[in-house]
Amino acid sequence: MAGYRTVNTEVLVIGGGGAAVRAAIAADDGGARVAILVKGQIAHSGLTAMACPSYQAAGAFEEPEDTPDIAFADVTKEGRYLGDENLIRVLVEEATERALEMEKYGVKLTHGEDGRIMQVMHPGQSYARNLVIRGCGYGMMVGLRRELLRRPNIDSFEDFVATRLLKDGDRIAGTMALNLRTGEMVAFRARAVIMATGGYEEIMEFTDTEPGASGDGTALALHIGANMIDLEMMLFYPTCLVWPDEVKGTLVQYEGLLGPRYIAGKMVNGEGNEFLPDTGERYVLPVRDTMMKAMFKEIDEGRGGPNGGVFIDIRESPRTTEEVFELLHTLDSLPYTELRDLGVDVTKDMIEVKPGTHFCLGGIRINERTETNVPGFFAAGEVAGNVHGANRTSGNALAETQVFGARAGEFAAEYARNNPDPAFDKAAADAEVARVQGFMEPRENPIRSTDLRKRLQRLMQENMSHRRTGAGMTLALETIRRWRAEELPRVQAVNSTPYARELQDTLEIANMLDVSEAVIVAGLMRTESRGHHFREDYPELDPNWLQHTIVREEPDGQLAQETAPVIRLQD
Amino acid sequence: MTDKVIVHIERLNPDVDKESHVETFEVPYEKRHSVLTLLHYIYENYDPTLGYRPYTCGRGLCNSCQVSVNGKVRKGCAMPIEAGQEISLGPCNTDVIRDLATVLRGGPEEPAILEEWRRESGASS
Repeated sequence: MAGYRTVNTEVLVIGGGGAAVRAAIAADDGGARVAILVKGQIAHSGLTAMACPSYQAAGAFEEPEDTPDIAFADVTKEGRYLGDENLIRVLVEEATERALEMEKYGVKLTHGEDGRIMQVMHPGQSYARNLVIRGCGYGMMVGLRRELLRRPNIDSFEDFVATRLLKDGDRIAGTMALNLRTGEMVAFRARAVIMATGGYEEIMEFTDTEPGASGDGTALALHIGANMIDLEMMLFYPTCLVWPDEVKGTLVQYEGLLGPRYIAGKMVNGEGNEFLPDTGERYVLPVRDTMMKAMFKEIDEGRGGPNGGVFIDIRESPRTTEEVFELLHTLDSLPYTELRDLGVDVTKDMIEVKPGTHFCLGGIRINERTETNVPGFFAAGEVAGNVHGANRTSGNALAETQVFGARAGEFAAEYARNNPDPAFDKAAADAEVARVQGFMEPRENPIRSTDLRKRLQRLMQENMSHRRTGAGMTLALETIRRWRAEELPRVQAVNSTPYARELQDTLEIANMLDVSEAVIVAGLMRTESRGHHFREDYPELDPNWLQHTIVREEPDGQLAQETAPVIRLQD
Repeated sequence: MTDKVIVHIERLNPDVDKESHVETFEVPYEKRHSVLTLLHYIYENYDPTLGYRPYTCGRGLCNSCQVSVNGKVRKGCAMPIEAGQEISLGPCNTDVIRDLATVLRGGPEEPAILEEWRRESGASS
């Protein structure tokens, strides 16, 4: 089964979520021939499809006083001043226009009774700023997919896994990919490549994300020497279910459940006492990093519930049961009737939750044109870094997919127009086919990828969650390097084509080891606590650390480390 | 109290099988399960060749885990299973890639080049 086929295109998009599909549409608008490659199916995989309905846009539909300038100030502050201001400026100024475009594509936004687009207020926002997408992230993907289907010049390759990017000298040249349905390798040759694969939450044990979030795009970018920025910044969502087992790790939207304007429930510890810090203002809940620290404190100091969480209690909500369910239906993504089928009636039972890893703030370093340090290589959405900073407010993940996805498509199409086809590195392609197929060859003392994945997740949860220390991270780093040398070569995948599931799992664990290593290197560099990077040995925010960590893989495989200033806008 | 679940799964590898057959697994009920977590358990502990779509939201939204449960198409993640239950699982449509992994409908058409390759490969598919 040696060899591979080739697909030629101009702009290649890797990923199948909101940023990827929006990038493909924009590249098509830019006149490029486009191929989009996704490891699942569009709308049925990826991180956007499982997102909450919030899309942040300072469009002033609801509150005329709100402006992009106020949103800029909010986002900069809540990101603990670690977000690049050129990117935040673009985000707040373009989010509204992109949202209205989505509506044209077929995405449904919730409108109020007066016909205006409804906006709700989430922590960290000066005004009600979040649009509410009907059908949540899945509804958004269905609408975006509808637009994709209208465009005959975009070829969609579903169930294709990108395995290694190809280069021509310094510039990008395409990618090698595995066709899951046939087990064949395919070379995709392209003038420009847009990475839009989402985050790497799967390296942690307790997450609310889907299992595909294995950081494939992060690893692939690392391997071609892209600058990776603030990788240590992994955002927790404060309220993920710890029980029942079937839905463990599912997030429940605390903004709706606890927000005084909405259901107005309360959060209590295992002893039944409220513990969240008072923000001093009506209608204002603590932002995510503050809230999660308060929750972890209760859990770590032994005041948690039977399953290691704390509780949301909406039993004494001032709203009627009908109003509660109406609000849950509008604001939240978890189908509460299904939770009731599992034996939890939220109007009668408390909901046990704890913080879970939810979003990767760091990633591939981009500028406002979504360019990276590798010519022809662009990144958009969660896989990119330095947009939000050390903390992210609700609704900016989906906004980021549209704003930067559209930009990536536009600028990648422009790059493809102005540059010739790159040369094809046959040696690199051959080596990649051998690497991938090698995982299906018999190993001595074979182990399964799922075993190594679970061990890695436990190791990362113990050392890279909310109680990071230099000693713990160093131990984890050494362990990962040992596993890559000694355990990864033992991983053997069964050849199960059609649908090469275990081979794909194996490629993922190889990526996860590399990403975890880079995340820890970044975590060791940042000797302070800021946002969601919480070190016990450096518990304070250090003004000298108002800078980015950069990790870059050198041609010899070593990780170079440096810092970079945060980009500020001159007034 | 029975502490296991009996799962009958319709298996089909279209490359080699003329028709599907049913395989039965007994899964210990040590923690609560949904149809989806049962499939994870079987894949991880009994059979790495089991085909089903793994990238699912896990909370009833994305429809990626649709399977036929006792003859009705359901979302696997939102379907709790109780200890002692016996269930039959099959693909949610007839466009089977392998076992329970299908081409979910409503997506984009395959690029023409894939069709071309299939024709070239002829008998292999």
